[in-house]
Amino acid sequence: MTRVRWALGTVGVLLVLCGVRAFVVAVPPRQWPGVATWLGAGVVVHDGLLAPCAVVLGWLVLRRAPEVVRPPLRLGLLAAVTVAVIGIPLLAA
Amino acid sequence: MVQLPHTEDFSSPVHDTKVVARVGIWLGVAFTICFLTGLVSHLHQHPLAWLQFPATPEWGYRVTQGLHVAAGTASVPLLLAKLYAVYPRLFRRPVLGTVGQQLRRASVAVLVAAALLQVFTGVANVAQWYVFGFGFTAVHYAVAWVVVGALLVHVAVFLPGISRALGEGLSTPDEERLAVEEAGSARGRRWFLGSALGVAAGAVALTVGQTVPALEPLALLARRHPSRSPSGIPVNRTAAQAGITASTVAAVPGRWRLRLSGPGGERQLSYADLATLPQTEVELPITCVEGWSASGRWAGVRVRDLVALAGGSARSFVGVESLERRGPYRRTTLPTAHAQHPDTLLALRLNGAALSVDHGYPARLIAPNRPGVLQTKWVSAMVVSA
Repeated sequence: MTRVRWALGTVGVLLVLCGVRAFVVAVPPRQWPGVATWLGAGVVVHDGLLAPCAVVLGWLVLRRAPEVVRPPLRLGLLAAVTVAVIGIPLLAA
Repeated sequence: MVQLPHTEDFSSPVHDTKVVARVGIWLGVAFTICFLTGLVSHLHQHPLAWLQFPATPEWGYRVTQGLHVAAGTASVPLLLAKLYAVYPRLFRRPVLGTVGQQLRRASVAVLVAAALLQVFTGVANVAQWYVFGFGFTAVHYAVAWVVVGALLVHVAVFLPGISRALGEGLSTPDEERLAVEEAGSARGRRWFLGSALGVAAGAVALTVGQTVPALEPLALLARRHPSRSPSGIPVNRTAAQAGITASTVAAVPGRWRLRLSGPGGERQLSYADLATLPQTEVELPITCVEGWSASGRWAGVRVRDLVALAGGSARSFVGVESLERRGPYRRTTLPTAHAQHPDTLLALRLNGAALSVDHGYPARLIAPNRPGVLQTKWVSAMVVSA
């Protein structure tokens, strides 16, 4: 397994470097700050806002709900967030 | 003072590695489909000298790009589910840890940031919501390599845990011993996995009608509905957006000329000249990178005939220029295979009527197996190579 892991990791790093090269070659430097901002913003919005909201909602609702309805409630939340992620750009565009 | 939670504070059964590994595989499959089909789309637009796509099958790009957008759409709930399942690990202590642990965190951070950016820019681009303020195609292409590379590194880092988790059922050994009491946990995991797949399938079902006619009535989350579009084909870039003005169009019957040049010299063809050349009608789909596609009956002059008229050969490729003043696709190159294909037309008509201005009047290119952005509208010049 060690050899497979090293091989996967090496190929992975090379592909990341291909991406960095493609980025440097094709994206004008004045756009780099914007890309960096969106890269960071995605993590901040997800880890700092979306996920905590889901966790708090789970803590408030699921803990009190009977065991049997918890999974369908999780499904409902996942569906709602998915519709929002796909639907909001459609409305905003 | 609010205390940050610890990994152990999250008690939901869905945070188990068994769930993480399985959702991870499905997300990996979706990302792989996106990467490969995206590469096809990129190579259509930036062909390599030694790798030119054939003009057949005519539905080739329709299928690969439809798959690209469908797999990208499916990855929205899969990514959300995956990140939710692993979220408690964000709060591992110690926060920094050894160099190895730091590298591990860094590799996950790269993957998460790149994956979120990639899925979001894709979804926004499909909606034509250009909020990000940077060029979509170049960034989406570069980040695709980063996502796939970081994904391989991720699998390499976590392989022992992944293979252990996949080798077991969805219950923990403890739960099997305490069967009755803990059965809810295994059920919770099974439901969570089913939900991720189900919502992914649902999201595809509610969008794929933009390219699969039979499912169009279901396409509630799609921007394009071909059957409700002018002449049955959606318009991605209107004449107004391309800077084609009423006066440009009004000049067509009298003053517009197609400048056709090649080894045999240059000639100017009026709209009437083109209409008197042999006309061909073909049924071809037009497929946009945004994921919609629609079939139309196009009529016009075979590009092959124009190549011959310009003194070109069976090896000629054709540079095509548009009346539009700016835009990355103002000039495109039609590869040899497409230029020679009998279905490739300089089209004057669509579905029985002259092209509308938004569809490229006076003349537009239509070729099989090719991205819509390269099916140049408002053609003004064709340059045939030797």
